[in-house]
Amino acid sequence: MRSLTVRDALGGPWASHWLVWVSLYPPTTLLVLLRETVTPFPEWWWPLLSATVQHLVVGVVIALGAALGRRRHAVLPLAVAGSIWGVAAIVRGVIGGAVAGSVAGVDPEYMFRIITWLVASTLWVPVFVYTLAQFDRRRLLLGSLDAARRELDSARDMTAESADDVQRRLRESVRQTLQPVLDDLQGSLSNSRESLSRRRLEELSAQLSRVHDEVAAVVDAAGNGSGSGSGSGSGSGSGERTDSGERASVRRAFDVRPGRPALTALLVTVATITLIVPDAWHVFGHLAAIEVVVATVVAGLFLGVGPAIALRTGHRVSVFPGQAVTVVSLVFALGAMTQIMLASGIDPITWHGLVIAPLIAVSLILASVVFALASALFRINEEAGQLISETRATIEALTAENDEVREREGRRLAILMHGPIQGRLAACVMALNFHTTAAPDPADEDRVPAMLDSILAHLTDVSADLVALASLDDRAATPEQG
Amino acid sequence: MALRLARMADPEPTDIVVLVADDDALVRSVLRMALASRGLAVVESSDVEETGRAAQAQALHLAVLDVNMPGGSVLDAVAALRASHAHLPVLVLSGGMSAPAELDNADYEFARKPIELDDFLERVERLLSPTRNGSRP
Repeated sequence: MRSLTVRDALGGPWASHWLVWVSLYPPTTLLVLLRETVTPFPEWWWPLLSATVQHLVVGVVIALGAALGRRRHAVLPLAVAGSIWGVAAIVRGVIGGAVAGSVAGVDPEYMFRIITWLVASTLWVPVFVYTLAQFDRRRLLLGSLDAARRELDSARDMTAESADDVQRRLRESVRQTLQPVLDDLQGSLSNSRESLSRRRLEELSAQLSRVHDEVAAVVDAAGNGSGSGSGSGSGSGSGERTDSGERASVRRAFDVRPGRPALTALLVTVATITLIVPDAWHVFGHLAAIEVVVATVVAGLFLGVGPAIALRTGHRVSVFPGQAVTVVSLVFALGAMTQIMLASGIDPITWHGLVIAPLIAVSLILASVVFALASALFRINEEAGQLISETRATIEALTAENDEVREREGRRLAILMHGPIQGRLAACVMALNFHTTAAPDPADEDRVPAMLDSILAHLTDVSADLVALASLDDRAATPEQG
Repeated sequence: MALRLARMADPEPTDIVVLVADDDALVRSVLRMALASRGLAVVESSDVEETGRAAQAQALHLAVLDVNMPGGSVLDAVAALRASHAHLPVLVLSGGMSAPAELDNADYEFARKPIELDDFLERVERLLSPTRNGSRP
């Protein structure tokens, strides 16, 4: 089963997905609010408006860029995707600087704004897009796995059916298809034999011909292994299939097990520091920046140590709230970070910490989810893909085995049906057809009852043979009859 | 079993003899009446052994042969016919979708049962045309 490559993930639909854009609105807005804390805007809402305008324009840039790029590439090359996100970061910096410069009359500091947005984008956007793409694939894989398991159960049920069971089912199917029609035909012939017109004989001929064709179709279908309840083909040729179209629930897809908590904690720490420290330093000075670093590192320790200990002691760990270790670690990490930001005294001005702490919290939570999922999803998606391939291979083997049994039993049925049933029906059809096709001759009218007697006798024999066949009594059938 | 085919073309009786070999009396009867309507003489057999005896007993110009008869395979029946009449045209009728594989190397015509009257008579005429034209004894 084909893996999701980095290009597939970063250049696919998630590269410009609205959900990414919406998800990044809160953290980018918080960052703008931090950055504009000391900018002398005339009204309090100007930073909020600046952040919103930046985000709207960035959305347009990404949508347009992706649409243009996809004219030539269904999956955007990494360079194209990177360029689009880079342009978006530059646009964000330019708009932020322009608003600050024009409204507050301060230095726009375009270079600082552009560089910090470029760094933040480089660190956050690819991993965010990659995680969402893998998460979406996870939901599809789980759906496919469920479908494959259902098919496997069905194929196993079919395999458990013995050859005699198959034969019995096929014969009963044939009998149920034909018996009512035969009964109707016999009743019709018996009841109206004294007053059978040429037109009525033609109708009976056509009806009998349809019965014969129906027998041939049923027998052919059985011989081809497509008899009723066969279910063949459900898994054939499906070794390359990856997508059943079903998607597992978000909750279920979230239930993954982070494999490397220490590395994840390190990445979370680095991503958060890179995002916040430049602005903290720029706005509040070096003490605030040091405080952010210390608080984030301590929080990162909590994030890494808790799950690592749980993994070593054998407890199952996941980012989902159901897996308490990760959630508890995150709670402790946020508590420690808040304590340091507000009461450590590294930066003596408390309100600096009060302004920065929410952004650190959002960053830690977001990064914990994104980085933990990114590292875990690749591994478990590969495992799920492998499991689906193996399941499909098993289904194919079982389906081939089932088809072989059904074809063999179908051929056996066809041999038994050929003489006693099809042969007799063919004789009846020919008798009626020859009689009704030939030129009328009043002198032969007295011969019709004899022909009808013979046809009725044939139909009675066919009915008896159908009953015998359905009861698996092969001796009742006489295949020699042509 | 008797049908009204004898009068359909007011045929002149001929010396041409057709063997109808089928274990179903209804089929034999139907085919006999159809052939008689063309002025053809008909002899009947209901199994492979009887078919062989009929072929030895008299001159035949065509055989209409059921693919499944008691007493042997269709190949046995064809061999019994050709032992006495090396170039006898044979029309094999079968309820199956395709011609029997064992007859791959035999010279014969195949038709599926049930066959329509017009189709049957057209095939018979075609197979007998060399005989009628004198190109086959």
